[in-house]
Amino acid sequence: MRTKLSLVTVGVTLLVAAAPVIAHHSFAAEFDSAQPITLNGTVTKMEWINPHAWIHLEVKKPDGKVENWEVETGNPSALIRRGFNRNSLPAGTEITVQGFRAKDGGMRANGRDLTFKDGKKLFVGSSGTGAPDERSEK
Amino acid sequence: MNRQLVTVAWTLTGLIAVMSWAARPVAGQSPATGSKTTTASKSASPATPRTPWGDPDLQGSWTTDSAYAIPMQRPQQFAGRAELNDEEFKAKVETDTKRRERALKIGDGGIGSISEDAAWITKTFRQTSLIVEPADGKLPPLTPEAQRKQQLAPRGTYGNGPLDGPEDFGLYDRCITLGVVGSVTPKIYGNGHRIVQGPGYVAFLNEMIHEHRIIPLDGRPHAGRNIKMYMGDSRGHWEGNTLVVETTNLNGKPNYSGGEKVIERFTRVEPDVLRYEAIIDDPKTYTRPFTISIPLVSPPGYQVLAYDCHEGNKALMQALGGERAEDKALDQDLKKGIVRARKPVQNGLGVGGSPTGAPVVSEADTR
Repeated sequence: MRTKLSLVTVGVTLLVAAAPVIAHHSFAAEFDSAQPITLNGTVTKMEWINPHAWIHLEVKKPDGKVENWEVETGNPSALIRRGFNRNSLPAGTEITVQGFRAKDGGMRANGRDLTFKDGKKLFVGSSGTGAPDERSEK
Repeated sequence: MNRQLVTVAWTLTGLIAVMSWAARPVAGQSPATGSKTTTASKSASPATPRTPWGDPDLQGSWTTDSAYAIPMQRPQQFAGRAELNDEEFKAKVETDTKRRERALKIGDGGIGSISEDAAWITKTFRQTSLIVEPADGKLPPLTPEAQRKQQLAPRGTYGNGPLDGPEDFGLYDRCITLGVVGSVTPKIYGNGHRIVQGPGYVAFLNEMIHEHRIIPLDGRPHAGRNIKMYMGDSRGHWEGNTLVVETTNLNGKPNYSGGEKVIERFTRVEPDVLRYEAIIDDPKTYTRPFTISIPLVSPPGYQVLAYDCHEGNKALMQALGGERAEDKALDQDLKKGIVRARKPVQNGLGVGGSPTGAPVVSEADTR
């Protein structure tokens, strides 16, 4: 009976897995998986635009120089359904974002995990893009 | 202004109001919640509610999120069976429940705690594939002409380039359209569909990627034969409680939306389940007609949100920028005496676990 149930579970898992896992745009065309980046900075603006929202970030370098980075997140409606709202990332919030740099070398990155000063983590990425750290189960 | 124009104006006003409302920032909004997983399946149509003017009432905020758990084509282990048996169904209810509970946990203050946007499954269905006809649940083979076209079709951010301009990207990449049927097939996110009715009209708003349709029900003639459009020209009529929409004047570019005519059927089979069927007869592309059947659900509190795709579509700029960076890298290597092949766009990564460069079969493909 146990074997039979396991087989059923496998069948159902396959059924779910067979569903297409395709986001709007592919990660690999825009971002470089070989260039992971960690940005520590202050939010200057959260741009709630489609098809991806963007976090604008001021990053102070050790030499005092300030860089302005833009971090791509998931689709705004996906973020809202995950529980984000207009107050989730107000300007002035200090955050750390882990992601991957744009292939064109610009100061843009695809954001995956975001950490607040208190250690709370958020997933800000777009699912189904084929990004290397993508997790289908948590 | 005559009555018909007033109706159109009101329908449009309603649609715009809905879109504006959906687009507003949402403070403290709890995520779309679902009741416990139910055992929905094909069922006899109960008394369909009526609009004040007597039409079957299909209005509401619907989603194909639950249908995302049904594959487009029937997996081999369910060959010959359109529905799961009781044991398989029980197991699937458990799987779907786990996915839903994981998604709902975000309502406990853990925002952004999931990376699986397709977890919003509020009803489990016995259906083993979205394709219900032919009876094997498989997409009919492409015609030789369509196969040739597919080889040449731009695959954009999901292909391997080279990418030199906007035409190297598909319609979906470019935020143009997913087409009449493609905008309803379930995706990993953005599955909202709003239906608004007025006397003589039905209006649809598809969340991703922003399509809307205003369909007259008065039997007026279609546009002239030479006018071809991405979303075609739709006319609707009622057959009992089912809205039947015939769409002609299709330009055939989006997937599942070619041929002389696409027929769609919308039936409210339960108060919170809308059955959508599309009959595609496109002999230039497919070797036989086929039918896609998709259940849409309306969980309590569900909202269709804005997906104004052109608002900030930086994907093309970034993908083209990546290709130009590769041009420069190739030049620099050549100057150093290194002769190498161009890096493919996917750069060793597969999408959804597929091997690099392998065709990704999905509703997202656009020709």
